[in-house]
Amino acid sequence: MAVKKKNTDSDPSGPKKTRERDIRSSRRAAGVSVAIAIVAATALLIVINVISDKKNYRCDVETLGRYRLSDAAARILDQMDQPIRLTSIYTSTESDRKPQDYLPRVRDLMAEIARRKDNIIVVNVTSDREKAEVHARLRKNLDEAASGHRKVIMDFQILAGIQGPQFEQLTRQWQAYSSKGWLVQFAMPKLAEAAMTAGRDDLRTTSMELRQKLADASLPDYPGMVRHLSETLKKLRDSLENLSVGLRQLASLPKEASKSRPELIEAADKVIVAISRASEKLGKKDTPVPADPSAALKEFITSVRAVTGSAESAARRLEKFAGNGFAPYARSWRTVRGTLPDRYRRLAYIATGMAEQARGIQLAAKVEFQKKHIPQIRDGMLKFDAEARRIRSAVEKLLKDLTDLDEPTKEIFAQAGKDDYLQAILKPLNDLLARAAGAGPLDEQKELIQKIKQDNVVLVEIGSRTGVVGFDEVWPLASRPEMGRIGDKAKKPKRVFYGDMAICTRILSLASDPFAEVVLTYFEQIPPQYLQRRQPTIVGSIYSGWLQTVRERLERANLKISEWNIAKQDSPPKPTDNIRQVLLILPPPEPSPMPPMPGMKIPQWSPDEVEKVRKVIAGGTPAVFLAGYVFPRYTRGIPLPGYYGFSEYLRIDWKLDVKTSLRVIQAKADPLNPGEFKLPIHTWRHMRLSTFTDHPVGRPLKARRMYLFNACPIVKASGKAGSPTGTAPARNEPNVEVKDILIVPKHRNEMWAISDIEAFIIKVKKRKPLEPDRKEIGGDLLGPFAVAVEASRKIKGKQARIIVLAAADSFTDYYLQDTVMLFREDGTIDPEPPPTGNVDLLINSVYHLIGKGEYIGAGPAIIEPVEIAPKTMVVVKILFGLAWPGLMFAIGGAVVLLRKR
Amino acid sequence: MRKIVILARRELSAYFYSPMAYVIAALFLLLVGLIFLWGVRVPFLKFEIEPVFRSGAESTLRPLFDVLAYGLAVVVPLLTMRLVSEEFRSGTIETLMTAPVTDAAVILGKFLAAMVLYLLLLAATGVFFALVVVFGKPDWGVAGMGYIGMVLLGAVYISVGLFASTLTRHQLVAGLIGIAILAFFTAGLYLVVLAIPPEYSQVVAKVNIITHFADFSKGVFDTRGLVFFVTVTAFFLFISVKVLESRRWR
Repeated sequence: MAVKKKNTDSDPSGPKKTRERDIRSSRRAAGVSVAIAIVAATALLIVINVISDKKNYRCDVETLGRYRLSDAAARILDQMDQPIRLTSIYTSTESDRKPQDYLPRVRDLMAEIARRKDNIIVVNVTSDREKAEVHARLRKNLDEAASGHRKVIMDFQILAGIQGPQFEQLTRQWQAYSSKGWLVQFAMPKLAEAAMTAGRDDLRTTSMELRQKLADASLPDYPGMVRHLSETLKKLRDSLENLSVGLRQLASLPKEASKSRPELIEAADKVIVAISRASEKLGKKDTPVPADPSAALKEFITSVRAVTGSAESAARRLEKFAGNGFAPYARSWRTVRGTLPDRYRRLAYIATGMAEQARGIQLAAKVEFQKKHIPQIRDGMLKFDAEARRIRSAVEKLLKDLTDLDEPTKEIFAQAGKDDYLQAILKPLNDLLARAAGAGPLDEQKELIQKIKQDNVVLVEIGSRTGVVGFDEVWPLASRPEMGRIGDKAKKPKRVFYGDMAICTRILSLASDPFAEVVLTYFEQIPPQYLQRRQPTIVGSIYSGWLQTVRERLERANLKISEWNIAKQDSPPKPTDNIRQVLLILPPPEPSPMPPMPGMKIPQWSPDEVEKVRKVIAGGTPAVFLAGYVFPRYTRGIPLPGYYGFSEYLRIDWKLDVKTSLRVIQAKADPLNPGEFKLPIHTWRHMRLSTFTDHPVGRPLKARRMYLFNACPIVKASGKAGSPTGTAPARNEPNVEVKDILIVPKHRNEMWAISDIEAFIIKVKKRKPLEPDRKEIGGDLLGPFAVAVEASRKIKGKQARIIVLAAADSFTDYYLQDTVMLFREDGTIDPEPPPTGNVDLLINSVYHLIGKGEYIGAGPAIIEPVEIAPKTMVVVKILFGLAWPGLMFAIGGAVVLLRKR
Repeated sequence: MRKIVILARRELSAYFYSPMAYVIAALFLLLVGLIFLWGVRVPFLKFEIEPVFRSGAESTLRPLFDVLAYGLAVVVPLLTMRLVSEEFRSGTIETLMTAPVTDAAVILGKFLAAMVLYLLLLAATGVFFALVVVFGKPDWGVAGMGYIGMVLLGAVYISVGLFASTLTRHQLVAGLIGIAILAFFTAGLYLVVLAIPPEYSQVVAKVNIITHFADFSKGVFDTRGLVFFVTVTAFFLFISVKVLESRRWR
């Protein structure tokens, strides 16, 4: 803005002031106009940006679509109307989980999610302070949700405080009991004292442990703590109740002893009388031998048999008296020569022996011989009589001990006889136990409590429900050892980003009802523990209890789990809330070659069971079959193909030949000997295979790390009889459509399916070169073949669909929770996290079968990495890192020189 | 427009007839080469940037652009600090003011000159992209969008640097003011976002230059980013003009 000069010639002082005033005023005006312009520009800047923020156009030009939400994730988010809070807590200090490597993508994704929906708040936590704040907030929510649990824990602390001294008092009482008191014969004072001391100590220890846990954990495992205190209380209750019951039983013992005394003494006397009668038949010691020894012996035999009877009777009477009571625990019951009934039984046994001996002598023809042995029998009878009298004395002592009550014991019994003995302790203890049982498992917070301790997690909070998405879910391992060979020591296993589906499915499972019910289908017969020695346990190669990881992941994928034990139920359980069902069928057990014991009815796997499954599938319920390699059975040293109960069904109904007698192996080409292979030992258990087809189930997993164990090939049934695994030809079902999901392609010549495992193992052990056995019949199977397939067909107008995953062992807990050990070429071991990605194959299969394919994530993209030789890299560094900037310097220098000239 | 081009040419020749442009280009390429081929590691700050170009790494320039977005917040103000403040210092501003050009033309001319120099520097990074093409399979969409983002980002940075240059006759002060403003709108706001409750952090994040640039660097085109960069550039150019104008009546 130009400031015009004013004429000041006429009045130098007045116009000067006027001029200055004019200048000031024009400056003020200019300043105001500039300020207004800047304010207006700022306002315009804000308005334009606000409008563009509301109405924007966004597109991802990235070819692989890695930075946009997958369609499935977007679909899930679009359904969500409730407020959602996503918190990333990436604070790991582990070198292979550094937040600076892995957090940016998570942040990008979360920002993308927040952009898509206004009701989603995104929080990024990177410092320990922020983490502590989040934990404090979660703790507050958790404390509210677990108010019942906290009350129980608090009451336990109070109870421990009150009952501790009570136990101490009881301990002192028992310690004060006389060492000659009546109860000492049962060791009862010591037992009671030990129970009281243990009770006091258990209460104290548990109380301290709980206090420690409450102080230490940012998010205490309240259900776990309640479980812990319940166990302590149960133990204590059992111990006190046993003591109380024991004292009550003991209290009645003196009366019973008095009552039984006459018959027990009578029985003991009868034995003595019987012995003396028998002794009389052969005469007293030092008197002449009877004239007719044979007749005397005959009478003796009859009498001595009566001794056996009376001794047996005395033993029985003693046992009857003991019953289930405490008498056998009395000190007098056990003597140096054994328990009283045992001694009578021994007497009866010896009497029988003597009768036999006498019979032998009597049958001897010579009288002289009989006469010679009678004195010996007389001596024996004397000892016999002495023993009978000793036992009688012992019985008398027992009865005396049991009836001879002292005063302090009488007082204790007087208390124990009342129902309220120890009730002062037991009642609050039982009340608390009942409340602890009612506190419940706190399902909604279970995952939070268990996983929050991990580093690098994303919290998903919807209302009162909180889910935790772990690092391995967001960043699963890649499909191959990135950057080349396994032997490359410096390289970490490459991870791929799968965050959008990992987080969005978690949102879905927290916010929605389950999509479908996965029915775990198996054939199991597990007898109760007390019968396990007599009845066999019948379980397939995979026990249903070994699938906890799968169950958990399926639940988190918004699927419900139920069970169908074919051995016990004819049909699957009715679906809850009428949601769709999918059968997840485990390998059935092999029928037992041994017939069951007579009178024992044991269910066996049979064609009837297959029929049950066939009926359900024909009714339109889709199924996922878990099959896999089965080790051969050896009958008299001859290997027979491994049994798979659904082989025939799959062959006949679905044209699928699941070759469970062939095992897929992954060898490694020997670079020195073309056509020959070696077996990297880790591939036996962890066979890396991610060659998925474009089938919707497998496509998203192409870039994911997938390890398989005991996989077997699946081929289309030829229709001819006599194939390696069975005899039945495929039914001519033109409408069966089979689609491959996971295959061993033809070009993977280092992978094939072996037929003779024994010969193969011998070759490996002897370090012989490996090559496929190319025999036409009974030889190995070379690629291409499938390891997972989908088959569909119409049955009575209804569409039936199944998926067969022929690597069943790859889904068990012991596989999915086990660290992968890769053996490097230099002999060292490279541990990798467990192959949890396998479960995604199962989840995708279920989604596909229930028609929720749109929720299958697109999966991480396969990224081609830079490949450059180290030597070339050096050249590149020199040329482009040093020479290229140097050239700029040189040009600058040249310009300066030219300018100077 | 012709006047703007003439002014821009004058500025450019000032750059190229002096060793300044070459020194800046060489230092810039050295910095880029360092990040691209060697990476940066400052252990005591626990700061580490892995080399962008290495065997097994993703074939992309994205990590380089992400680092440059912060680095240029320092480099660009140094490039632009002399644009107007030098005129003030040497007194040539009076000649310029009396010349038949508007203040807006002066600012636009200088902006254009700086922009051309910046584009040339950016073009020089093409050799690094060529390396990625030769030894990997980059995503052309991402690379293209990354370069577009870098151009837009450069425009904002230059406009801010230019504005800082109009505020003082001292080049260094101008440079520091420019760095301070850009540091606030990049790293500063990032720290603010971390400090405030998440409910507000999303609003603050929208003012952060890096937030908008991040979209471009990952291959996402968003009109919000485009509008943000264009309007912010225009805003700073506008207030630069106003500041220059104010010299006439101050």
